[in-house]
Amino acid sequence: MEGRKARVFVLAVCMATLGITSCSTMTLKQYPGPSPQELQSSVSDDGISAIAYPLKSEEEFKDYFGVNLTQKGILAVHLTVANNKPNVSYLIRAESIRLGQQDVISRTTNDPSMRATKAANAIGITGGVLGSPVLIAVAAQQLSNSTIIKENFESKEFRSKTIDTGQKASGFVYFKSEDASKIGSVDVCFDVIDSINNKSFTYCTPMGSRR
Amino acid sequence: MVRRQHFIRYASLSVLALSFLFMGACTHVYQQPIHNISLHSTGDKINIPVRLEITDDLRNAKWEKHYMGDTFVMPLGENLVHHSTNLVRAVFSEVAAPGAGGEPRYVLTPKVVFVEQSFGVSAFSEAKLSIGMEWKLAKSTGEPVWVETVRGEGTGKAGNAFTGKEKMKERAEQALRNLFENSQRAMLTSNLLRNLK
Repeated sequence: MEGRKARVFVLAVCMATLGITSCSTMTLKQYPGPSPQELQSSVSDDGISAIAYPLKSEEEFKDYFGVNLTQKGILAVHLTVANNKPNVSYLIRAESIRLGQQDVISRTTNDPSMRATKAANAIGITGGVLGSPVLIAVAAQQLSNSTIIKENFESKEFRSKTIDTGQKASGFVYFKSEDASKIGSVDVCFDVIDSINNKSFTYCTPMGSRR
Repeated sequence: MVRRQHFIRYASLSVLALSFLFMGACTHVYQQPIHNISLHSTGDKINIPVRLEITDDLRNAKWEKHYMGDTFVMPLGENLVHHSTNLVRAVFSEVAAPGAGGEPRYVLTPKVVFVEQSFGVSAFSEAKLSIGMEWKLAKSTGEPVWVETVRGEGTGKAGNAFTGKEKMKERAEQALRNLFENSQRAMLTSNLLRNLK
């Protein structure tokens, strides 16, 4: 009789856990980029305007990534680049994005800019962990969360793009946190290529903070 | 005596269960047929000579997941190569055949930048397959001229042990269709590509 009660109890706990966790698949929000007015406030002579916001608050991390990246050594900066110059297209290479004016070629092997996959691996997003049979439902929740977090990382990353007149490119750039100890006083720089007119230049924008 | 028998029974079951865990390092392959994706060929193609560069990375592209000692793999390369070839013919008016003599002025190289799949908690929760592809048009000298990164998504219920494979096939088909339709749209609406000579 005692064994039967124990089995019923274990089964009830499993069902309750499964019921609770199956109702709570993680959902992450899209980051609302800068407004058109914010982008228009700083247009360079070449027609480029760019805004960079680092994520800082716990609430922002929870809403957009599901994990506190700063605690894991990663600085996530949302970058938006717009092209306001008529009849010109600019190519922005994601690999050229860096902190400060340091030339890409002379960067150290400790690459401060991390691709999304590296960033996801750095914060230890792996599969679920199997514990006792009672915790299988919890492991399913962990696995689900880890796949959602990793897919979100990749989807939100800033990717290389050619922006025509009136267009913009946006996304997150991931840096090693120890390289950005002076958040707020560091510029985010990237190379701009105008392939039709055989021009290229470096554009820098200071890291701001959302109001 | 009865308690000892219970103990022996449960201990044996636990050892058996653990042995399955450690011995079950299997690889599960979700083969994908060539999905039927029709790209509408418009009359307003881009008039530049281009060669499509298919790399080994593209041929070997796949989704892969390691979980509890097992490996889950979904090869995508065959579909990506097939549809990239069709896409180039639908978008550009002059496409050099592989191995043809002379080097066209431009080379178009597709590259998979990510393949990720997210799952809900249960078989009834939503799963999403995302494929990110970078298209780079460069001069024959290698100098990049135009780059666009496009994303394709396929969503649906994750499915259970019996329906999971079919559900994954549906998501892959949807993601590939979405990816190549978005790629075609990105190329045909690009001012820079239209103005190239």
